[in-house]
Amino acid sequence: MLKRKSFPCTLFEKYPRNTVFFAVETENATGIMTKISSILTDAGMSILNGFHTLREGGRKWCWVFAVDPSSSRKTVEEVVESIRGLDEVLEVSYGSEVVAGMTMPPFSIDLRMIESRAFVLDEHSIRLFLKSLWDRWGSAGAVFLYHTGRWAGKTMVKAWSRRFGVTGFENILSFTVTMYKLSGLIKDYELKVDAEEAIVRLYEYYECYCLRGSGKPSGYLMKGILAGMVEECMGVEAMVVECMCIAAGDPYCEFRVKFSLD
Amino acid sequence: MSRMDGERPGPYLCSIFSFIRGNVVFFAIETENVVGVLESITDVFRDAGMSVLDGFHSVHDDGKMWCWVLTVDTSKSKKTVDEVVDEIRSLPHVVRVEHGVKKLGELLFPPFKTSFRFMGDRAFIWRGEFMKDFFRSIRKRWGDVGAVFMYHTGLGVGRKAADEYMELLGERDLKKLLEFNGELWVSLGWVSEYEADVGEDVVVRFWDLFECQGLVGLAKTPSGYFTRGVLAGYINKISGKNVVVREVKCIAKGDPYCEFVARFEE
Repeated sequence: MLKRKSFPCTLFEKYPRNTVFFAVETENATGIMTKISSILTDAGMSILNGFHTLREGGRKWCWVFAVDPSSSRKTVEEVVESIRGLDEVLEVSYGSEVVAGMTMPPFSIDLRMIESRAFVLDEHSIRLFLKSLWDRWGSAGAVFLYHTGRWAGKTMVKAWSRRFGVTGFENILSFTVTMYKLSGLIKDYELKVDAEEAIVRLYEYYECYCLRGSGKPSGYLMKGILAGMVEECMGVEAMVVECMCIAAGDPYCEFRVKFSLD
Repeated sequence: MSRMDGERPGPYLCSIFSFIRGNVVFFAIETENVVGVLESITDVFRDAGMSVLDGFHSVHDDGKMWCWVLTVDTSKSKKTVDEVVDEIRSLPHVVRVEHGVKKLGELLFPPFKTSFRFMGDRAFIWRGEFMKDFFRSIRKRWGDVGAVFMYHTGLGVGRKAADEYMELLGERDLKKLLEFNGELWVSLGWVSEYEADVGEDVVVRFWDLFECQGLVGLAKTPSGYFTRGVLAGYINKISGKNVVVREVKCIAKGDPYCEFVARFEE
C-alpha cells in the first residue's frame, strides 16, 4: 500500500501579486482548450493552477485558471481580446484583486464534487477544530464525535443506497473508502470483511492525520461512522476498536469492527 | 466596505470530480513546468478526436513541475487510448502519465491517486452531502447540547485562528482581519460571499454558509452555532473586549444569508 506516488493538486495557494486569474466559458467543442492555451503560449504566459468543467449537460465548458504573466510578450488585455475572438468563446472574465494581503480572483467560483457542493477542509482548519474540541471538552469531545459519526454513518447508508444503488455493508464500506480516497480524506485503504468482523485499514486518514503526535488513537468520528453503517445495514450493534492509529505513531489507522457484541 | 459592493462576476463552476458515465478515461500527467506544455498535450487529444471534459491542473515543487488530472471523452476518438498515451509520453517535458478507469457501482473513478493541497497544507474535500449529514447528525443526536458543543468548540477555534492570523499578517485591525477570514472562507468554499462592517457593532454576513446550508428547511431558528462561536472568539481575541454574538438572520430558517451581529460588552 501507498506504493504509488500520487498526483498533487493545489486547490489554492498564496499567489504572487502579479498573478492574473481567468474564467473562460465556451461551447463544448473538441480542441477549444488547445486554441486558448495556444494564445497563452504565444504570449509567453505560464498557466499555473486551474479547473475545467463541463456544464449545462455538456453543452458548455468552463475553464478557470491562474496565469503567471511575468515573462509575457503581450499585455493581459491583448490576450483577453485574442481569446474573446475565438468562435467558441462565450464569455471571459479576468483580473485579480488583493484583499487583506491575499491575491484573489475577481470573480466567484462554485466548487463542486460529484454533483454536490464541495468544501475544502485544510489540515490546519481540521487541527484547529479537533484541538479546540479536545481542549474544551476532553473525553466528552470523543463521545460527541463518536455519536455524531454514528448518526452520520446511518444516514450515509441510506443516501448511498438511494442515490447510487449501493447496498449491503461490504459494498457500502468499499464505496465509502473509495469516495474518501477520491476526496483526499485518506491516501489509501485495505479492507477485509468476513462473517464476524471487518478490518478497515486507512492510510493517512484525515481525522487522525491532523492530530499526529497526540500519542493516542483519535479516530472517533470514523469509529462512529463504521458503527452506524453496521447498525443500518445489518440491524445489529457493532463494537468498533481503533487498534492502530497514526496519531499514536502507527503507520496507519486500523479499525476492527465486530458485528455482534455476543 | 463590503465584498458585495463590487458584485463579483460568476460563479464559475469548478468541478473536482463529476458523476461520469459513458466512454470516459481518466488521465494524470506530470510534466516539467514550461510554457506551452499544456498546448502540446491538448494537441494530442485534439488530433485523436478526444474531447477534454473535467479536470484540474496545478504547479508543484516550487513551480518546477506541473500536473494535470483530467477526464477525456473517447467516444469519437480516431485513435486508441494507448496510442494517445504513447504520444503524450513522448512529448518533451512529460515525466509521468497514468490512465484508466475504475468502476464501482454506477460511478467511475480514477485508477491513480491524487493529493490535494491548500495554501501549502494537505487539503480534504467534504462533499455537501457529508457536510449536511454531519451538521444534521449533531442536531438530531444532540439537540441543544450539540449547539452548545459547537459554539464552545468554535470559540476556541476563533481565538486560536485570531492569534495565528495576527502573527501571520502582522495586523491587528479588526476589519482587515475579518476580511482576511472572509476571503479564506470563500476560497475554501465554506461561503460563497461575505460582508464585514465594523462600527459600534460588528456585522458579518455570509452567503451559503457551510454550517447552515444543510439545515435549510429544517430549522426554525438560526443554526450557525459553530460560526457564532468562531466569530465570538475571533473578535474577542483581536479587540481584547468581551463580545456577545447573535445570529439574527439564517438561511436555515429561510433568510437570504446568515447575519451575525457582535456587540461589545461594557
